[in-house]
Amino acid sequence: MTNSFPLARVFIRTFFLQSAWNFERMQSVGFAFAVEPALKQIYGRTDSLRDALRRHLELFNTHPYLAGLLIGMTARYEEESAKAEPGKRDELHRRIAELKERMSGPLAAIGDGCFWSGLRTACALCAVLAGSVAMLWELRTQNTLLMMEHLQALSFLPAACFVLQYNAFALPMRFAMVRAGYQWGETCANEIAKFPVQRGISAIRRGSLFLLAGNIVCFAAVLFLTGKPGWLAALAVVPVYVAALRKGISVSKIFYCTLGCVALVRAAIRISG
Amino acid sequence: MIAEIFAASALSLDAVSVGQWMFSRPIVAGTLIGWTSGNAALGLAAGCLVELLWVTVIPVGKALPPDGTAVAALAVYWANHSGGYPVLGLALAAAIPFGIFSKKGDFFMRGKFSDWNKWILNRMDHHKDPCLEGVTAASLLIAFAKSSCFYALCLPTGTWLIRMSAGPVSALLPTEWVAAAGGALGCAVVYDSLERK
Repeated sequence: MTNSFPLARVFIRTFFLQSAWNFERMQSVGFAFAVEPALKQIYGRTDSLRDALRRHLELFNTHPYLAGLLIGMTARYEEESAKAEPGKRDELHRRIAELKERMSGPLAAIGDGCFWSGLRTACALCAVLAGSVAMLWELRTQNTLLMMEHLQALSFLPAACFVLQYNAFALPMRFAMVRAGYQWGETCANEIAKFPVQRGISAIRRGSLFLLAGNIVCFAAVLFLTGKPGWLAALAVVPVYVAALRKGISVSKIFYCTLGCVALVRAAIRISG
Repeated sequence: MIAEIFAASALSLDAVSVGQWMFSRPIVAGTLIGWTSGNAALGLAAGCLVELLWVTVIPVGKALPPDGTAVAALAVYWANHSGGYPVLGLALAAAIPFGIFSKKGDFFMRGKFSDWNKWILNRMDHHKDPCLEGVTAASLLIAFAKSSCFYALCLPTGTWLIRMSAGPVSALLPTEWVAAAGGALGCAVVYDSLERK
């Protein structure tokens, strides 16, 4: 990597990729904003800079964490086109636009599978598990007041767990994407293909199933220790919920239907009792 | 209430506008708003429930997921100011439509942001600086202002509504029943998403 690529500034600007997200051109403004320091370094404050920014204000949308790959790649190609002969320049500009269009979809799919569905779910389950374990630890004490005091302090543990675990992986990955895009250029697709992305996503999903089971075990233990094991009967409704979700019924509708049933049952109990 | 409005608005920015560092997730937002309004443990309980219900929702392209940050923040604030745990179930049930209302506000705001494209291209046509930093900063300010207005309107309104209906309605929706149902549904949501190919 040459000293001319302002890696730190471009990386920090990738955090604002979706600030001006709109329905017409989606992440276009954010993309141009992120790549602007590199373009200013290449072209200075000239008409070429304006032309370059105009090229990168076209429709663009992909996963915000992996967009850095295309941003780094764009910076590299713009650098090459600035040094190229006039005839070759248009070809390189067309090539950048083609690569952005072709790669944004697959990168979005990888990002959704890896981060939104995979890592975020696993970290959320881990965080909830941390909270349940903390509650179990506190339930061993007979002093209710002390337990409530400790629980207030330990309430931040799951949230901190979630944010730290998630960003420990996500932030270095986002930085690596910008750097890799600039270093590898067009060959980044071949380089990414070498990583076992699908196996990684499958491993995270399997791990999340174990975390889900762990959460259920911890909740069951909490209910037994607090003398309310009857609430475990709520798990009997899970297959019904799964069937409803697979029929395409939204979570909100299922939740409100359930609340309606709860209200009817409670009303019936009050009337009969 | 000012602290909660500011905190919730700042956390809402993390969902899409800046960073996506997961501060806007219900488990984090619920705990923080719970802490600022006096009961972090209650905030954590509400945040965990909302997180499980919407953990698998993906913010893809034009799709806007239900605003889990708003649901968690509103439910926790209303419960903390209307009686605590006994009304948490009612507060959660009431907060979901407000979360959808917040989502509609996001849709409207993003529609308006399409005007930035014309403004920037117009400036470039007249050989002026496209002012991308200014556009980005203005977009963040507008998003923050929109969230602040939303929370300034909904926090006191919802508190009043929950207090009015706490007695009769929360007897029909006790928190333990709502938590059990919500927890089971959350498990179903997670299990279903992990089992799908």
